[in-house]
Amino acid sequence: MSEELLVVDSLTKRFGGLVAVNCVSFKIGDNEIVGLIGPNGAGKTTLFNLITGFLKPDQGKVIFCNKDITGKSPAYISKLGLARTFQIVRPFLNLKVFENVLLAAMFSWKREKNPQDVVEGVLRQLGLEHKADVKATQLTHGELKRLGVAQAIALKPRLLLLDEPFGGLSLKEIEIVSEAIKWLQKSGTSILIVEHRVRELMKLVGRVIALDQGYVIASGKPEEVVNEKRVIEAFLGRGIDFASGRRS
Amino acid sequence: MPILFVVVIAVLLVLVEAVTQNQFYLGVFTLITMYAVLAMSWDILSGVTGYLNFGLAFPFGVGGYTAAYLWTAYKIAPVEAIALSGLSAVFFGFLIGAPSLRLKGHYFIMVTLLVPIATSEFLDFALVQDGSIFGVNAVVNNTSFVYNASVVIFALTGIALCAVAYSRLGLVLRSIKDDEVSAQALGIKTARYKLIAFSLSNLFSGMIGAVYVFSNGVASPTNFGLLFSALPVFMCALGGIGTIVGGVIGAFILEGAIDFLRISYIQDARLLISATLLVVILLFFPKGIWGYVRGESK
Amino acid sequence: MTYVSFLSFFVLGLTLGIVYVLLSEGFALLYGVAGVLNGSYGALYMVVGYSTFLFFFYFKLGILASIFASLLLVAFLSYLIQKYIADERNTLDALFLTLAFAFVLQYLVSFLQCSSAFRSSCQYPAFVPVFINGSTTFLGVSIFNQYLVADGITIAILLALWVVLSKTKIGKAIRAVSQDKLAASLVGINPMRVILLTSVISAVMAGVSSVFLTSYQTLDPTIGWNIITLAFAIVVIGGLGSLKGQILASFILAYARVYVLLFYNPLLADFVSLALLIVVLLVRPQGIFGKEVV
Repeated sequence: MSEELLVVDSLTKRFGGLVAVNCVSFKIGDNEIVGLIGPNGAGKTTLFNLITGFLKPDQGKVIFCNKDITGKSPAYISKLGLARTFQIVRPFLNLKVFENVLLAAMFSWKREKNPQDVVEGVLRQLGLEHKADVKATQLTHGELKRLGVAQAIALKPRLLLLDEPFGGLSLKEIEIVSEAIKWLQKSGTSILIVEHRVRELMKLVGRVIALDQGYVIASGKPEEVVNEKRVIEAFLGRGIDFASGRRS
Repeated sequence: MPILFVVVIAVLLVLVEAVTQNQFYLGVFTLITMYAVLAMSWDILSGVTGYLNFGLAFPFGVGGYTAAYLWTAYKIAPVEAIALSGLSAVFFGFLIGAPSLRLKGHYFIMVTLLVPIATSEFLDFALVQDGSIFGVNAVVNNTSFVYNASVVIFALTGIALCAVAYSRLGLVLRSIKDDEVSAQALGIKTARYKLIAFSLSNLFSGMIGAVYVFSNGVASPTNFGLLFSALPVFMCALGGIGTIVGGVIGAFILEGAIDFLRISYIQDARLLISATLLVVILLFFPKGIWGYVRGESK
Repeated sequence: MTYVSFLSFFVLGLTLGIVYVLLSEGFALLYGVAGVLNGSYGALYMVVGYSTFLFFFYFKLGILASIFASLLLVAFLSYLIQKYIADERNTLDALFLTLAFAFVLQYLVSFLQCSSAFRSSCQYPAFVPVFINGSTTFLGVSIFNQYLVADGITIAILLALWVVLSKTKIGKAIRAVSQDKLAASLVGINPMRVILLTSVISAVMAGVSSVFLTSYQTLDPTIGWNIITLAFAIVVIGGLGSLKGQILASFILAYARVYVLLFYNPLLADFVSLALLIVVLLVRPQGIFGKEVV
């Protein structure tokens, strides 16, 4: 029997009068890559914050590896093997690139005996090996994003939440990152990705959840969700040219 | 490399003692060494971990009082007393430290600034009540012991703290300074590491505080004075915050150069000069001298 | 506690508390507007005392002129500090630098007062002269007229400040900047100028408190630290961003001090506010009515 890795059950969060996340439920299993799409303000980042412990929900539960992690601290959740990058969590700007990855490897979910061995491999995967000795502040935006992904990989979590990993990347960089994510999946991690670059995301994920105004409006295989009326309306209504994945 | 620097300085200091018995020189170098220890202790918590501590006088004073008390009440030998004083400083520091490390930056600065002031005011009051100040006269005349103790503690502090700062543990501490939230998200238990840095800082401050009391012959509330909190900070800023050895450089410059410049105007003004130097350095060389030497800029 | 001594306690605490409000609000105002704790606040307080002494005894200016000149001096100093030292930096660096500068001021005064360069001034302790003599009896308690005038002036200043902040254009600009610097600049307010103005107001408030609070004691270059402690204590205990709380805290600390002074032991007077502050910071950092989370 495969138990679900992550169960989100009726999660709700209000900010004053606004309901940002409204009774959201879904599951994520082992070795899955799941996409989370939705227009701006749909509640995606709030949902991430609720799952990773940066916000406490008003209602609902988050269960990870059969443990109830609702409202627990980010450090505790991370220790269980649930990691998240970007937006709140970012690389250490005053540390060097390899130091950044080394730290992640040191605190990886599966206690590495020799963290430094992992670092080199990961850097090479993300095309950052020649920048190993450079301080993170001197990286380009795209390199910084890749560093964040490198950290996530070195952390070897059981479930990784990526918040817009493709933002600001060139097509080539997106390819590098996508390959790294697929490699991560093969090595046993499940990944939940929030992304606006819908076209590139669809090539990567096995399943998609669509969010709008705090509700789940569709869920299933990418090709199906993409053609659902409600999803198209939600995106077109906000002015997204769905075919190209860009805002019109 | 930094550890080498510390060892070299320690060796030089030993040579000084071998070469001269001049009380003045020995006295000055003792003072320099003492401040160097304080500066390094400050740096591991504030420079490396990023928790700006303005109250180094507290563990310093606690160490001193503990040593005096152990000597007068239990007749414990100086060497053991010094070691125990260090531990006592860690203990009392823990009482104050554990809750205050939770606080945001500027609150932490203010709490650490005020704890020694409060302690010294309380001691002023308490001393008037029972009229005693601890005297440890028997050791005072032995300047050689004091000098050696200082050098040994200096070497211990320098080696230990450099080893920590430039190791993986140091990396973790630096990550806390850079972005504590992201560090926590990586699963780092930041509270534990902050406490480690804090305790290390207190340990060596306490030990050198004991030596100070032995060299002075008396433990008094002035041991908690603002000066002992402030000067080490000045020295680290001068030499390079976060480098550990920067504090040593700063100690030599501020305490040494000024003690050796025997013009009376400058002697009196040495605190003024130190403070002004500090402000100037912070304004124009945010990374201090060592940082500047390493070619870093903010 | 006898009836007479209770009255003394009540009246003295009241007169002291009013000036404490002025002292703490000077500190809180700048913090609210600039977002930075000014580590030099206590030092400026100390400088006012010394410069008043200097102007009055050495330059033989009248007492009012001396006070006025001193206020101008610290206003200018505060402006310089805010402009060059505490400017765009992040709040921790600014606090650090202003604390360092406080040391500069302290050592400068110390050096000027008593060093081999100025040997003659060593023997004479500096103090701010009492300029309103006599005392009045209120409710059977004898109060120095100096304190009564202090309270009167303090209340006048606080009222004037309140009027300025709520009714005038510049007051609105100050409130705008204290809420959101970026938004204020977007509507055409120059935050830097507003902050500089606020720093000047803050320094004047510190100065006026200084003239009255130091008048029955000798000056010492280190008194600045007790003052910034006190101001900080009041702001924290009352709660950041809560004027009500800070006024309440001013009186709590004033009464605590008077209590210890009258009935317990004068030496512990300063320790009490310090101890209270440390306890509050460790147990309930947001203070009594605090809105901000630590």
